[in-house]
Amino acid sequence: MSFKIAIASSDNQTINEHFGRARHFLIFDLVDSRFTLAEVREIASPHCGGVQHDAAAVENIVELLSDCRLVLASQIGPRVIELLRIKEIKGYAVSGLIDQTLARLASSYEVKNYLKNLE
Amino acid sequence: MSYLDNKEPPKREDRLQARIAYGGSICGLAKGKQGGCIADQERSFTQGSICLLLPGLAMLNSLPDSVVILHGAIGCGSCAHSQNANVRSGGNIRWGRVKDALWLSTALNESEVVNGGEPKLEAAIREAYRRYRPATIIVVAGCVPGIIGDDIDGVAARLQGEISAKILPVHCEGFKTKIWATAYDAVYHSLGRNLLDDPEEETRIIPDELEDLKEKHRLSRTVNLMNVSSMGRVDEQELERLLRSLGLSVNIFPVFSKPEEMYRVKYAALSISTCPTHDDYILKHLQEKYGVPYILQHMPIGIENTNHWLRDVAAFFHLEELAENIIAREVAELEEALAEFKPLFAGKKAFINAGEIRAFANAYLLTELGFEIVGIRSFHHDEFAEIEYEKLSKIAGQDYVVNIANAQPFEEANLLKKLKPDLFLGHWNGNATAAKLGIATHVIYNTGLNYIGYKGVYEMARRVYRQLKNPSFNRKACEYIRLPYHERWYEAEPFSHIKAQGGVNHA
Amino acid sequence: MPNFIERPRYFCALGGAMETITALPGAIPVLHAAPGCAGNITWTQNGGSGLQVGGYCGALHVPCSNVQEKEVVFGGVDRLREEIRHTLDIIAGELYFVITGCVTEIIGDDVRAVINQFREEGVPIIHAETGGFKGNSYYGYELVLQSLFKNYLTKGLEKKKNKVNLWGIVPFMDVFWRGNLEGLRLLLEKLGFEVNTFFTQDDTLPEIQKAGSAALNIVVSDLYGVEAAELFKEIHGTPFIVTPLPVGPSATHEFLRQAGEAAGIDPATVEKFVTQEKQRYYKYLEPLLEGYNDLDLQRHVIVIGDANYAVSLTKFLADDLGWLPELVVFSDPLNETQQQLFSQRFDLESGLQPVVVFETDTSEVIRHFKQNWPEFHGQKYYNAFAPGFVLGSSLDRELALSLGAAHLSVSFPVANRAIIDRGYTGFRGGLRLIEDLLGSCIAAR
Repeated sequence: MSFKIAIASSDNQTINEHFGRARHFLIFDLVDSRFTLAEVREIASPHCGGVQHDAAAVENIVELLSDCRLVLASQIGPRVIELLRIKEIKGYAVSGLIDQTLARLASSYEVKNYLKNLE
Repeated sequence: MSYLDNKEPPKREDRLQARIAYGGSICGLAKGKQGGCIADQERSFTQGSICLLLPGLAMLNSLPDSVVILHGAIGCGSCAHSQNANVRSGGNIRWGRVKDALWLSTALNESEVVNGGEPKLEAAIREAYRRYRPATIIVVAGCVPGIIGDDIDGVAARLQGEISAKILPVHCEGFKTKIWATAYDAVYHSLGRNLLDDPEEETRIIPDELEDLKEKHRLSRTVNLMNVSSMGRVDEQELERLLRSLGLSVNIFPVFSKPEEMYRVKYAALSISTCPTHDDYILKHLQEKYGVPYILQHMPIGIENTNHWLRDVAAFFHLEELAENIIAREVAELEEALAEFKPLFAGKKAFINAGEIRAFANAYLLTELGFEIVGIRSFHHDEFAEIEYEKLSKIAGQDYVVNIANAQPFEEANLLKKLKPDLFLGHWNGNATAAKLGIATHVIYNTGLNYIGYKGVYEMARRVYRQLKNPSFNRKACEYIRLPYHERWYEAEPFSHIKAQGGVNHA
Repeated sequence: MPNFIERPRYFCALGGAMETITALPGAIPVLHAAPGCAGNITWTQNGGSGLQVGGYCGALHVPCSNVQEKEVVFGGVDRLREEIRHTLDIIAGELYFVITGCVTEIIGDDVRAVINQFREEGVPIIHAETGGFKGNSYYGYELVLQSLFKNYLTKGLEKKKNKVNLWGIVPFMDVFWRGNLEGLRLLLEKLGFEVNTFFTQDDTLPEIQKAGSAALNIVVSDLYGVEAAELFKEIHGTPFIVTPLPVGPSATHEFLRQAGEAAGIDPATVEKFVTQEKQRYYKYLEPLLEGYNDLDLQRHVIVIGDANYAVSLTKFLADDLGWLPELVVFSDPLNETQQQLFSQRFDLESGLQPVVVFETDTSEVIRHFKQNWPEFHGQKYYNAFAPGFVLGSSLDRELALSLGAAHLSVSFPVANRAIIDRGYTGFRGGLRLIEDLLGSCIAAR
């Protein structure tokens, strides 16, 4: 299994989108101990159109990202965190430059342990 | 898929939307002004607190014939030195023998942190078995193995074949959750995954229908009473007394009970919790998997709460009338005995800080004794507290502050300076702030004292009475001892450091 | 290397650091660590430090960044920066001392960079890297001292003759730390020294900052703080002597002789002072001689303690009280070189030669005893270990019980005593210890 990260970003530079409002997710994959862009995954209909959250739409987005281990967005609600957790995906609300964050992640224990278990 | 199919239980922020940062009021909470759900806020200033390792160890160190192996850095889990006192007195009162708790530390050093600690843990388990021959070896993971990727479940599975002691892996990685009550889930998770299988059956050669019937009847009148170390033996005895007066026989789990007998928890007519914060995880599992129903509301602290609790149990067994008789008699006796204390309490202001349900239950108790509640702090919030908010707002003369916090005495100091209560009830290591402000205090949790049931009300009244009768110690001390806060902090808004996740402070 | 330590008799390095900083007047420990560390340390004090928990800013009042999974993955320096910023606002202190726990060290947060930023703003702030896995609480103490000497003490001060710094007694680990430090301070002051002991009520941060002007440093421990003394010498040029913790008249005589010699005080002055003090000491003991002998209060004793107490208690018992130390157990984890060093500390005046072992695990002590004392086989004439005494920690009560011996808790953990300003150092400390030992022997009288 690969180590994929989904990032919600509207400008491809910073993590600046809410989970629910993102129109697409940047999917990064771990290649040779670095994260590189693998694809841009479109979201058919982002669910945060108004105040009421469409539960089914959220579940769909989570399903769409089920091959990822981490999901990063500028905001993620507690219900989404729980839905992700059920699929053994970790969700974090963070902001900042994508490059820096990925470099940090590449040297984190999450990745180290993953690589260790591959051996 | 059950939670217990995974290696680790989910953290409570996710499973129960538990929260630790909030400032508001009892009436506000009762009306659900937060839309029924408190936002997951943070603090921009925090003070050190406890983590799930501490309550976890408190339970695990009480299990007889066991060795606890703390897999972590040197000194992690040294809190056991303090819990040892409970193990000594708890063992003495139950078995007439004073014995120190037995815990080991793999004391990971720098090189093991870098290279991994699994080999050392394996060797430690083997050595512990050889030396102590325990019935159970409990392997507790602290922060460090959680980060460096040591797989304690894997190690336990690998070694179980060669060791006849039952190896229980328990996950207590403190950085993984803000809610230390996750400890109860962590311990129950391991107990649920490893100890509930029936031992090899003894089949009766000659079937005995009468014996079978007797056994069935006995079990239909047997209840599980859950205790995760927040009740001492004297409290257990009070509840046993009440349950026996309903004709029930009681098995107490898990503290101080033999791990090899925990499977019996499946064979009861009903599981009774004294605190939803503690037991919801395991009781839901016991019902889903083994069909054991449960009761999970009303902590029996205070008269009305004890009445509710007893009525709930009685209703399950269709013994409502018997319960009412018991209650009428108990309450009459109790009220008579309380009469000598109540005059001193009338109109005195009280402030409480404790675990979620315990804080609210005690607020109800103190109101029954004649105190006016001026503030409550509780260690976390989740849905189980909602009924408590409702109960309290109904009997509150005036609205008062409720602060949800994982300790954070800076907020407490600020509130106490403003509210100036006559009495403070605080948790273990939670009374010194009030004491240093000259307030009469009493500890709200101590396994050597009565807190539960009707007896608990009386004993609490008695203890609080003597504290108020002579509060000289704290009162004098506060003239010469000060807290470490700037004066300007006391003038600030107490909740000015609570903010939305990743957001700005409320000013 | 053992695979585990049974019931370790100490905290982690972070714990030692936190309690040492709490003991410094006006200093605020600021933890960059996981949320449970302060609580674990507080509970440990509660259980083992003679009912002493926290201080001015200790226990659960200590600011802590409470790092969570998010910080573990993405780094915690931003959180730390925010935490320090607000600490300065809320907590009133003269020195802010940032220390790190396991988690933040493993993930490699650059704490130094954050501290430097604040230092540039003129904030009195220093730090030490005290990740729990680096060692136990004694090591945490050592790291705090080293950082103070390096980052807080003023450099290049002119040396003042007769000014001394004294350390080697670890706050809260030695539950008698306050009385012990004060006792030695008073003695040295009587001899004409100007003394800094860092942690007593008479010590202040401004004075501590000038500690570099001391002409001599005295470390009353073969182990705790010796590296710091070497660093002090390197940075501030002050020489140091190492003596065992002086408990009772014999050891205190030697301590004062060495201190006097190192400071260039006339030996005759020292001897005169010692004689006066011994006079007082024995005058106090005078009426005890009757009962001590009539009640036959001499004891066979097993001593179990850390590197300080194992040595100093044994010396006092043998050479001053006339008891019979049969077995001495060092409960600290010591390497071979250290073990060699300590084995040589038992050149007792009385000529006794107790068996010395190095054992971290409480339940193994009985095995050492059995290996060195003849077993009872029901023989008519048996040289029993009676009347016996176990002088150790509260965890050694089971041993005492099994041997039918009396017991007193002195070394960590001390769970069954309340210690406030009691000390065992010096001459008067010896009297305190005799009171407590004999009190234990006659408790059922």
